[in-house]
Amino acid sequence: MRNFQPKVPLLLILIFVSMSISPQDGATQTLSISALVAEPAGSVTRLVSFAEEHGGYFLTTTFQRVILRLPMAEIASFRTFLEEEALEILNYQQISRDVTQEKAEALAALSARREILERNLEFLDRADVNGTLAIEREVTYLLNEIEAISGRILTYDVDTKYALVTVQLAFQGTTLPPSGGSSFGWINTVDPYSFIGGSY
Amino acid sequence: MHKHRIIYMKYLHIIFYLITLCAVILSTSCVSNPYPHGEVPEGFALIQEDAFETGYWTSISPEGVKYRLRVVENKPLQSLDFWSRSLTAEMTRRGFINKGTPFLLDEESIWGAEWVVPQGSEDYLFLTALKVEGGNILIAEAAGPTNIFMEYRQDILDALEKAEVVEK
Repeated sequence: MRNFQPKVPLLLILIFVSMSISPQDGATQTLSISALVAEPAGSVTRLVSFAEEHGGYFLTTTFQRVILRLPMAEIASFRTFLEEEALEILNYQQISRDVTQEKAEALAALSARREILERNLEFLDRADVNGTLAIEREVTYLLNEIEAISGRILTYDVDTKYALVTVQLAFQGTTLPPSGGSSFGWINTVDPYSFIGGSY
Repeated sequence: MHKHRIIYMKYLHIIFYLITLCAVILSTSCVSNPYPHGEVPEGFALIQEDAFETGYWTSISPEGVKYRLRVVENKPLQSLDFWSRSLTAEMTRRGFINKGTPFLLDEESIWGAEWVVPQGSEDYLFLTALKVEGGNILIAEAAGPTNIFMEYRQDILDALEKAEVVEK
């Protein structure tokens, strides 16, 4: 029962869906950025604010990392903002992927399963006890598949509408050179760590 | 007359001793002992005012933002510009990043800069300010978590303008 044969209407739907989604609409953008900043915590806050002010949102923020969703149209302005925010952009990688075909296939699969589901439900009234149980099993299986495919289509929609931006923020010199390099004695006594952590 | 001369010779070493003692006392009183003195920033508490003995004058906010003054000898004798550039070079060499641009206060007699200092999962701001007063350099230092420090920043800058070297 699970091995169904594609029918002519199904092929037509597939062709129609393929034509209706242009490659541009079906492209996802993934940005992986590493930037050197003066204060990561402040930069994380400002990056999140930028995303929210420009129609996006954040997925995760940690002390030195932020993952954002940004509308496709805001990628260029985000780059400009980042160049102002960062002392240096260490890495900027933008990967584009066309998911038009995958989405079209998912839509076709969804349509086919819905059709089979309807047919199964039509059989339900005429089936005996054993047949009813078999149909119920099949219906459960189809519903699970429909749910999974619908979720995938939803993800495609989000991915094609919003770019996924991961920004890794770094400090200059994670291991600081030792103090004591100045030729002037008193300058070597200016030590922020001793001052912050020490006594009075 | 001869008798008087004998008495004079007898007490000559005592007179000499007294003169020496006076000279030592006078010279000791003339040697200056510079120490810092300042105004407590708004919202801070003075926790170390015995600067004459310890060399440090420290005040602190309820959240732990610390503001400290100390004095070092201006040796070799140099200008504020020289010392500010030396300090900047050393802090930069150690990898610290300047937040904003350095500033000048009190008719350009005080130079200051703020540095970002990562401390655990927090960012601290560390302020250093210098004032050259003749043979002494007044060093002001202040630090605290960035967000808290920024609340007190203006109060610290106001107090900074009142900081001075006192000679005793």
